[in-house]
Amino acid sequence: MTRGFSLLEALVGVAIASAFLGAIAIFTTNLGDSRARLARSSREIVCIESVFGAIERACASAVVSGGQQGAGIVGNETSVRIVCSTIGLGRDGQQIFSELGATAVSFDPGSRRISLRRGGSLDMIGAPVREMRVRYLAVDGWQDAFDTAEGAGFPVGIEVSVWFDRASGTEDELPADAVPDRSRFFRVMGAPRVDPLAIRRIDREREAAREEQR
Amino acid sequence: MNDRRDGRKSQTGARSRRRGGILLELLLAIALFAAAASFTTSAMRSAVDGIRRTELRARAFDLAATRLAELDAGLIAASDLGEDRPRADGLSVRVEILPGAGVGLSRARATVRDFSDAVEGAEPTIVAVHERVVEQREGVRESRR
Amino acid sequence: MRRGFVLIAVLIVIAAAILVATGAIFAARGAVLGSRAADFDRRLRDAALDGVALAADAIAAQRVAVLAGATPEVDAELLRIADGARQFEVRLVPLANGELVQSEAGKLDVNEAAPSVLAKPVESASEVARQLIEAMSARRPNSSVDASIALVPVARSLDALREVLGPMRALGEERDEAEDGAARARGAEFPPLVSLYTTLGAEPLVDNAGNPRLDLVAAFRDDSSGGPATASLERFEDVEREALQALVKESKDPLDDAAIVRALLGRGVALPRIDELVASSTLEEGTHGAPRIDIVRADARVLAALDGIGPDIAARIADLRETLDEKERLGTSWLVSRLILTPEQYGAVAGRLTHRSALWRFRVESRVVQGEDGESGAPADEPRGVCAFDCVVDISPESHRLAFLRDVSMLRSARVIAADAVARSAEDQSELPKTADSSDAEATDDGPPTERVILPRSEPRAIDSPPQDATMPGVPVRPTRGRVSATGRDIGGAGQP
Repeated sequence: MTRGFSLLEALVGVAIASAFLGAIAIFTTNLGDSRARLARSSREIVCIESVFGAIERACASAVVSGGQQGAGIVGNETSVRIVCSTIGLGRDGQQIFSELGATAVSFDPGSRRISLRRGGSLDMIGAPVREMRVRYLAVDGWQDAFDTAEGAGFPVGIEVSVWFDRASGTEDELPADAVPDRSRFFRVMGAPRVDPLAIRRIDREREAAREEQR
Repeated sequence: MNDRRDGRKSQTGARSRRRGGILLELLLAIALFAAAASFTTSAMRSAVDGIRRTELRARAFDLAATRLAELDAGLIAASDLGEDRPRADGLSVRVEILPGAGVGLSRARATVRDFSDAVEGAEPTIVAVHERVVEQREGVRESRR
Repeated sequence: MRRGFVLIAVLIVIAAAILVATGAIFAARGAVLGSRAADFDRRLRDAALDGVALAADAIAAQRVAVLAGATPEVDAELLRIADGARQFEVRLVPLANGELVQSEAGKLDVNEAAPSVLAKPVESASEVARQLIEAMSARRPNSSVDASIALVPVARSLDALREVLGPMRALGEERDEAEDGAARARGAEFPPLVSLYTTLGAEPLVDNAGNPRLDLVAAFRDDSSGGPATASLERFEDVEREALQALVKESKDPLDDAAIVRALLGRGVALPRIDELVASSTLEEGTHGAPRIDIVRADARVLAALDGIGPDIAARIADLRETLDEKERLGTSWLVSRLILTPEQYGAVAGRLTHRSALWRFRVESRVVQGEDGESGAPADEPRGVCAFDCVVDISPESHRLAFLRDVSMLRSARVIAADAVARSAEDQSELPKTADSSDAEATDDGPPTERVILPRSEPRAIDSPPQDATMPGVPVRPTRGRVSATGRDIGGAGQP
């Protein structure tokens, strides 16, 4: 007899080996999935933390006119720039103890990234973003753009909404009523309040939008 | 004839020792792998849990801060407050006004609850509480002071 | 098949899995911790902003009294928020003169006053102070006096900090009594520039009750058409109306309100009545007029710098203003009735003086304290932090307005960084001037040595502007009448109902 295995031993061996390999495969796949999910969630959390945090900090001490730095709050649907009054630390292009500094957040649909600019330094934030939308609440209603240099003073508030790029592959247009993944309404310190007469119109617009969706 | 019998016996012995070795090795490998897999899986699961909770808390805070900012901005009036209907992601916010902070100001507290995985009849968990001083609009449609 | 092949393969797979898992777990943990730290920062900042809102509200609650000439009274403690074992404490921090609130109308407006007037109070001060005032006069409009520290080269920035903002205890630490006493004794020395100068000097044109002043030019011009203009002139006696009408009709140049005083004095109107009329009407238009100095709260050096008032008169004003009675506080005519100025002298300067202040500056600070009774010994792993805001509130409109709000939480860190930059620039010149030594000592006294920041060498910038601007603003922009200065939060209340 040769030094081989009997059929039974061979079958048992193969069975155990394949079960083992299957377990390894399952484990590895799960691990890969979890890792991807963890990485995506951490990136998204860090992204929003920096964007919302920068806007909140800027709104706390924003100015109406930044003199040489430009208008206080300027923005459109995909970007907003806020000049605020703080203490310069000698970095980001601000001299130590200087007062005014600019914070700008903008979304580039081409590269699908949000960039955060503080003074001179520019950070591209790593999380892939499908869309970022900024809306401004003026005293008489919502607007898609704002400029404090046009004499209206501060906006009542700024709403920033972010939709993340979660599914792989190319995305078609975002449906108009899609709920944002993260969204927040920021209030500028000392800003005016909404004109009560305009509230009825704002409510009506919101109702109409909701009706359209149904 | 005796030699042949002895050889076979020694061969059988060697083969069984080697088969036992392979089996032991395989069992050891399986045991190690099982231990490592369970350890890694539990670590990943707790990390995923932590991240999920952090994200939930962050979204809940967004909701609470937004609601208080809307109140301060005059978009919603005190009389319109109450428990909101749960949103698509299961979060719902309730704002209550606390007694007087200043002459024209009040302290408002927003409490966000998570309705998504609440068991029937059980209280939904509180995910975030946020409190700010807000300027309040008297009544529903009065003009600004 | 070697021996142990399976075992080795399995071990390799396990090692790879653990590596992958560890990387992902650490990234996630980083995100969670970052989120928690940001949460703490945010709560501190929200508490400080709430404190600002409460302090502004407390001052605005006394609006009518303050607009008639009083000083607001506020509590130092604004807010306490419990959060588990620790508390967020928000309070008003005493300013350089020891008070919790400081009047902005008692200061010279660096954007409006003539450079010669601005230079007078600092004639006896240090060279850095004079340098700062020159820089501010040259570089109008300034966004604030606080920003002037950046106008001097980095090597002198620590001196400039001390000159502008005064000797400060580090943010977030208890002020000890000995230092308070020393500071008050030092008050005989030169006060910080922020107590003498402002960019928010424009006088709100409201009367002692907070209503808008009567625009005399408009009222008399519409006299022929009758209606509301005529009705508003009812408040004047005939003598007064004639005097004012003549004034408005005859003069062509833009007038300041001293002309009202002169016209009424010429007709022999009584001093208290002059006070009343000057407080309730004006020749200027808009919501804010030319800057006026609050003579009750201004420093004697500021008063001495005004044309028509010299050091002697300023000293007498400073002596007598504590002894005013209720009626005298409603105006500035006590300068005549107490024989400090002759009626002619008063008629010359009255347009630049006022008896009250509508803009008040304060600083709010929020910090974390442990336990119920406010001891601040925090355990090592608890986050510490301080958030502070400098604020000026304008209570002249119906609903008060924040005219200036600056986040000064990083003042302490900025001072450390500046001390480092000063030390490095001193080393570069391979000599140690006295100022660098003393500022070094001051910086390291603040906190543990571990706070010193190591920075990469970089060129200090001399101008506070984005690199694209090749030229400094040539012509100083003069803000249009009726609006306040073009930088900062002020838009003169235009558009506010």
